[in-house]
Amino acid sequence: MSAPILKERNKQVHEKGKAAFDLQCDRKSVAGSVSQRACVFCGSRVVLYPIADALHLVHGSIGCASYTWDIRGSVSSGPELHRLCFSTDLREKDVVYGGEKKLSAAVRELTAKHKPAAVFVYSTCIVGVIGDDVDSVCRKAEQELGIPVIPVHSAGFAGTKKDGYKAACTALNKIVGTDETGEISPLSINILGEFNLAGEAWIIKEYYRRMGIQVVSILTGDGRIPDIRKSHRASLNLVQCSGSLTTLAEHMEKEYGIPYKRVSYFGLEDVSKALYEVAGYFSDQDPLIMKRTADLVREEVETYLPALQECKRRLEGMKAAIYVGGAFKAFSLIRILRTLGVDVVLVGSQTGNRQDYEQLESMCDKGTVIVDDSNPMEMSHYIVEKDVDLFIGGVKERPMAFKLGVGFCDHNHERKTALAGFEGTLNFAREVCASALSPVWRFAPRRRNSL
Amino acid sequence: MSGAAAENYQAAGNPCRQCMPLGASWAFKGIEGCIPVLHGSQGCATYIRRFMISHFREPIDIASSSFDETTVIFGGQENLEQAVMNVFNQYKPEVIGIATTCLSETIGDDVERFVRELRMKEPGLCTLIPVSTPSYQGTQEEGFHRTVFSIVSHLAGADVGSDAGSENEQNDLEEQAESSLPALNFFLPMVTPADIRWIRKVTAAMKGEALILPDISDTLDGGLWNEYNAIPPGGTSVDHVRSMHLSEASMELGALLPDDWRPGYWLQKHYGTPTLSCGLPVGIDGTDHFFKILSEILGSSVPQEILEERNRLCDAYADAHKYLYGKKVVIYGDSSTVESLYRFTSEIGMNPLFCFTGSPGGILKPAIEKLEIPPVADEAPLILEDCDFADAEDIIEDRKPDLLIGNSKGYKISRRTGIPLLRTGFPIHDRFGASRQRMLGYSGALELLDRIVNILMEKKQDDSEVGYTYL
Repeated sequence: MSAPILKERNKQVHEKGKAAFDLQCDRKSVAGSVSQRACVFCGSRVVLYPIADALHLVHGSIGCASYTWDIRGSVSSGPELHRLCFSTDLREKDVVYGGEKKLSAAVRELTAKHKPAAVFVYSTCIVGVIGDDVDSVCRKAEQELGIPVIPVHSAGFAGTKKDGYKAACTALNKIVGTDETGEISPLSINILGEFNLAGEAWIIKEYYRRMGIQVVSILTGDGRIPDIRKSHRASLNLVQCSGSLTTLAEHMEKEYGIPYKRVSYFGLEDVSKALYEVAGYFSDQDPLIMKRTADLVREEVETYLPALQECKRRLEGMKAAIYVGGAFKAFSLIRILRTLGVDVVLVGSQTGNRQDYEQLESMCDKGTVIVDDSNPMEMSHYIVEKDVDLFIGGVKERPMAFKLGVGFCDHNHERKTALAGFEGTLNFAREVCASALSPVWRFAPRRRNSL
Repeated sequence: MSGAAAENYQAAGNPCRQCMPLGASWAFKGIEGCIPVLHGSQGCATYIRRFMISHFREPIDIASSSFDETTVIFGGQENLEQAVMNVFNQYKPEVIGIATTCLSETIGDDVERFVRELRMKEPGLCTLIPVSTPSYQGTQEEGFHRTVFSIVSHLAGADVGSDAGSENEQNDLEEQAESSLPALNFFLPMVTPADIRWIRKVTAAMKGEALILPDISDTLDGGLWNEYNAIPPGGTSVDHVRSMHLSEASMELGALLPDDWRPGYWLQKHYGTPTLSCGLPVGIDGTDHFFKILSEILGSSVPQEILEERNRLCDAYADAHKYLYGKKVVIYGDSSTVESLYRFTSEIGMNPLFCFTGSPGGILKPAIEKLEIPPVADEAPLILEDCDFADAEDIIEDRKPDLLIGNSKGYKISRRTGIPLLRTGFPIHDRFGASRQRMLGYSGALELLDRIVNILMEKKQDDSEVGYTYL
């Protein structure tokens, strides 16, 4: 049976070895394809959400706020304003007469009650259509309240999730560079694109502390407005999560001369590489940093490798599918799975770009299917065709895997177990074991007939 | 914004509701071979899928017409057509349910017309059912009821809309209806798959056939699959909806809506199919009333097995009453669940002193005020509509209840105040088995009673310095 692919999407699916590689990507989702992507608003919301001392006010109908209330596992070491849900809750009369007054009142009353360090105002689909001037409302409120009140232009239809990332970066950029006080070490970095899911940012920050590096700000995991204000004074930006914060890193390079490096903290290989790269960058200024880093890596690898090898013994020969938001994470996942003896037979992402997919293709074996902005019909087809044992994705993919008797491992924003860093790699391997090795799959009808 | 509790507040904080297209998707998921298309931005479909998947733990495919900037300027007709054709070709559905969103409504898309024109252009298309569900007009509850109404008014009967069957089909339907058990239409609010199965079971036990709309008992609570089903099996068949006007009667359970939005009332007005309405059969009084009506329509008596269930429930009430009497309870969620649980908790001697819903519609308050239930407490209960958790939190702290009953979203209040939360309704995102929760009938009431008593016992035991091992 051939794969059920919509004709508009033919070029967004590629099987390595079947034809020359020419995957289309960076396109808007096809109407009627059940895309796993959300919208521009989603892109902005996921990036800014972890900033815990800011108030996040969704300007629009109630749904957008409701569906994103406390949705992610981003944890905070202090304030937890980000875990509350605020909306201007536009009603029919607001749609007719405009929502500016309501927005203006909402910003003031919520600021008085919650005393945030800043307010982000997300404008959703109907706000522009009903003609609200959100910029002007925010500007006035900012002058009056004395804190940044920042509009985030995130009408759902105005592009894809990636455009939402850009809108979030534009908003962040208004905060960056507004505080020149206090000492900052020449050996200092910002961690970008790390959202502190299950405390992952803290794990990574601790590695850098051991290396002797100051972390000025984390954008945006366990994020704080005062840290972001100072972030332009760090020496180096490290960008994880390919799509979401590259725009900001590029901007900071241009404006403040801070170079950036793309890194990943998933898997022993990638996290070691990231730490060595940073050490290499600072080794002129601190000749001992390389040794400290090497000691750290050795110690950590020695701690976790035996247990990982035990996982490998049990997983060897299994087949996995990966579907993630940004393609960069897929590179790491392929590498980790390989070290666990698992082959990747299907891999895709919601927002990968041309370069990402070229790299993915070069990493994959012949026969592996690569998909961009895929949907359940396509993915379920390949799960069966490639006889997948394990699916790595987000909540929306989970029931599809389970229905077919396939293990599932959550590597998305909702995870409650830290999967980054050295210890996270072992956590991940254990999750993979718990997903793929469970005895329940033998009852799946695909593997065994019923009574 | 929120209701009487805080007139001055403009913003909603921690809302106790979702938007209309979610209710529409829920209703469409209960039609056999149906896939919903949300006419708006991609995010609406994806967020609602994720929200519902986390509750039901089932695949929930909802398509989108995926607006972009040009769609907003030139209108969404082309996108909707593309979405419908792609869904039709890929999913091979029998029905495509099209619900609008705040965006498509605000730009003024006339979806009824788009659907008419598309049907003319593509005569081979499956059944299309449009419904208007702008998020700013109501909650998931209103979206759900509007959609059920739309499904019935588009499909039921021969002479209504171009989607109704041909004359021959109609004759077949009439014969079918005559040859089998007397059919009864059931219109229920957003109840669990397990409760829907109970309705079907007891109707069969009373020698009737239940046509339940929508029926999510299999589509959102099914088994594992041998191969991937584009559309999960189950649901109310289109033929059944088409023949609903031929049923003996309609039963509208927990219908708190005005007549204009009631599908049973519509069938009665257009086809003379009698409609009877009663509250959801929750608790002994509620379920007795339900079986009385059912017996009259079907002319059969309540089977022994059900009477035994009833007696076991009476026995459990007696065993449980000391744990429950006068215990203060706060109930929240959608209007029909709250109204039902108000009746139930009152019946078992608890004091439902504060009930609230996020639904704005002037439904819950009159419904509860209408009830003639002797109160346990002297003080009248506080009933708030259009109320969010930010408002409710202060009231809850003030009234110090022993128990909260409602969906998962009240957990933050429960955690902060230490008041236990019994999870029921929608959404349940932090517990297992939401689809299998029971509330209806004597057996459902027993399950609910057990859970309430146990959560109170557990709290008492945990809080006790003595650590009693008998309670």
